[in-house]
Amino acid sequence: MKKVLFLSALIVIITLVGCSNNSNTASTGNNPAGTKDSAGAGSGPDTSDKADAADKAGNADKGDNADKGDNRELIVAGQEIAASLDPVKPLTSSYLRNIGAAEALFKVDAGGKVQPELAESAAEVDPTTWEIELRPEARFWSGKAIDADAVIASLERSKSLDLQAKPFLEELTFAKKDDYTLQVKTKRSHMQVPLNLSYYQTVIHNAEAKHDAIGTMDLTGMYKVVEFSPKQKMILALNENYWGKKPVIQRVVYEEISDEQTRVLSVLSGRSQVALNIGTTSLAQFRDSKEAKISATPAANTQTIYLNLGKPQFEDVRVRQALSWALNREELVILAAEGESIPVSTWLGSNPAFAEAKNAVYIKFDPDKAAELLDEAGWALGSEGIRYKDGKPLTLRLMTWGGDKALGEALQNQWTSVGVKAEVQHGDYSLIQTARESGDWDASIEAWSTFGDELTLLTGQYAPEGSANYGGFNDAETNQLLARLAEESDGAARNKLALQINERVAGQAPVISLFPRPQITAVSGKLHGFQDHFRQFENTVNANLTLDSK
Amino acid sequence: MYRMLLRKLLEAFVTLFCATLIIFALIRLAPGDPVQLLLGHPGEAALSDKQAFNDRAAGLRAQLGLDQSMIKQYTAWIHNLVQLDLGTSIHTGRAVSAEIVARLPATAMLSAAALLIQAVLGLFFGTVSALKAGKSYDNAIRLACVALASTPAFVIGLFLLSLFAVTLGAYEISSEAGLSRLWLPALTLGLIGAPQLIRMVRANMLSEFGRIYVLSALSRGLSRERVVKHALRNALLPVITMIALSLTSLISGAVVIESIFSWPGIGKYALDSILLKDYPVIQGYALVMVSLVILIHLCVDVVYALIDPRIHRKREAGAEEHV
Repeated sequence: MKKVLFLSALIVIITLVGCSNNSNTASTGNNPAGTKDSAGAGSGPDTSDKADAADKAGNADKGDNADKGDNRELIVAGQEIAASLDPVKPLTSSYLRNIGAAEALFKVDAGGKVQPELAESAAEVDPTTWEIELRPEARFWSGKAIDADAVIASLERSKSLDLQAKPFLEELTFAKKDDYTLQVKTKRSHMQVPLNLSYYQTVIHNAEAKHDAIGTMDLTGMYKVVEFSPKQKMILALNENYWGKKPVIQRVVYEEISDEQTRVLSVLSGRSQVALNIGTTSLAQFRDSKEAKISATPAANTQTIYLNLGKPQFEDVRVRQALSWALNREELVILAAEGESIPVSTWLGSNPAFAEAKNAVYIKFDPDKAAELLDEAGWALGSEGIRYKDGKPLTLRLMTWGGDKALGEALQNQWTSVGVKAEVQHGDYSLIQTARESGDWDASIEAWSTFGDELTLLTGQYAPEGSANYGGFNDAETNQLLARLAEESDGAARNKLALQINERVAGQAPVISLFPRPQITAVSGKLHGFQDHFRQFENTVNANLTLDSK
Repeated sequence: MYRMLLRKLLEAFVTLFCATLIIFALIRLAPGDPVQLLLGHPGEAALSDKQAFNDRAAGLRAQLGLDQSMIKQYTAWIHNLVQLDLGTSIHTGRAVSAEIVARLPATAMLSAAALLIQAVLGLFFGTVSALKAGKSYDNAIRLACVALASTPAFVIGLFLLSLFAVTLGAYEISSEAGLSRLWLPALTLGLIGAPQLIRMVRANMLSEFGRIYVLSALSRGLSRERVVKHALRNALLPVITMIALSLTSLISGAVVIESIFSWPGIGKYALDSILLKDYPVIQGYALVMVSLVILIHLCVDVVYALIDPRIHRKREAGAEEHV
């Protein structure tokens, strides 16, 4: 018996010692578990050394930081970090840009205006041609010039390998005018090329480099990746050769902490200075906190209920309109977003450029009008408060996912009050995907971005071939308006047409718009210079961030 | 002994084969398309051309071999398994075996530490509870056991994390695995598993206390400590089995704790992969777990036979009778 106990204790001790060695290695970054594959596969000894040197520098900084408590290290806790280093892999460029490692030619500022980033300027030469001046002083991390050839190679690589870059690049053709001037030909007249080239999917990377290891990847940002453990941690050190304003904070640690409550506790404990994607249910924890504050900005996207128009109960437009009139959006914002958003009655309303669409068509909460429309459509109120037509109840099964459970329940409550037998099915997003494929769904919630080129956005949502036209909306008038928008070259006229399409769609109600999804970020009281942005997910780190030494 | 070992190994092989079938079928029966999850992400602009998306999805599906029949996919998986290749993650593009090997030590470290805590708590409080049966100590321990057993793991985890990280500032929240970060998740996991062990030790000890040898030892004037030592020794056999078997549940059950404490173990990796429908990873994880359970059960059988001579003798006697 003693032997067995001794043996067990020995095994436990050996495991602990073995694992602690392993974890120590990972934490110092000399040979992190996750980077072993990539660094080993794609790089020679030089690369490893380079990474090691950077890591050592980083660790030295970390030590100093503990002593001095100055601007050496910023820790950001995110729900998810990249699984790959290659900017053309899904969402990787978003994470890289968010943390200051990647840049595009242009960037949208907090006010919604497109500003030059890696580009110096842009000018429309004729209705289908733009010229973009590049910055001769700008360099990749490797020191290679960011000239016209390099930019074209990067954009072509994104176009061919990243499906999500397609909406922004498919109608553009790039040519070199001179070393630092890019000529862009557009398929349509007066396309907003700088806007298209501001999306994170278009970040400029060295197309000749291998983006599978920290030693070989080559981007342009103010921070360089010096350690990477996929889906765990990314450490970035200052890019000493950065062309623009150098950040004050020397080192950034971007950690994946998938549990929302743990991210909240991480900021409250003072361990991290920024925690991304905080849910509305956690807001109360920050009310009296001296350690951290909340940054809540409505995103340029609209929480939208997509209706399956193939279902018989939604064939009649009056039923769909009634469902929209029956909603008290202000109450929904309070119940489902803790008041951290604004009601929006049409889809484009969450886009800062279409502020007038916020309160269009469904100008107020009107349950009487909803009841009237349902009566007109033949859905009579039964004795138990449910509406019937031909002996069948008016049912609606709403599928929700992620953090939308509370929203689903609030909607269920409001629809039930006008006689709709509503039920909520909350689950994994894949359940919604599967239901859509089989056609066995009534309604689901999703929030697509409303910021960008109007035609691309509206076509994606409401054209019969649009990938987000889940309900099968096919309205001749809307299609005609979309065709006109595609032909329209004048900016003001395009804006007007977009609003017209938006209004037409709201009237036909294949979807019901609710409010922009709030983006909530917890920010340490010691961090200064954090900027609220309607696209916060790609604007967390900026060059003006500083940390209190206290 | 060798015959027993051979029989157990054969059983393990059959179990493993059946497990591959069940794992493969169950994963594919679950709703969700990994390719769509990989390509499409709500939040950015929807594609204006659905066909382009479908074409790309079809291309990726073919590239990953997901367009082939289930039988072909299964045989390809088994073919790779025989060569100890668990495949490549759809999401990260990395070798599953490398990812699991990289994360397994963190989970092993957490499980081993939790097991140690669980065993210490179980043996100590179980014995105390049995010695003080019916008294206030016993009642307090039993009440604590019920409270711990009925509280969800995430509640205990978040409570302890809030207490030690925020209130006391004694714990650092990060995504790294290390000895300095081990104690709190291990304590949580140990606390969750301890009540069952405490109850078992208590019950076994009380059973031993009622045996004649205890009464006769006491009547012969043996000290109370020595009698308890003898009783504990006899009560330990099923307890050791239970401790060993609970290692498997600790490894597989660490998913929630790893997620709360952001511990980069295999459980968190599996959870992320399940949400992404990353078939090769889920299959690889499930297979490794099944193999571990089989291995641990096999070890328990061997150790049991070694430390309990009755089992060994019974088998020998059985063999002689048969002859």
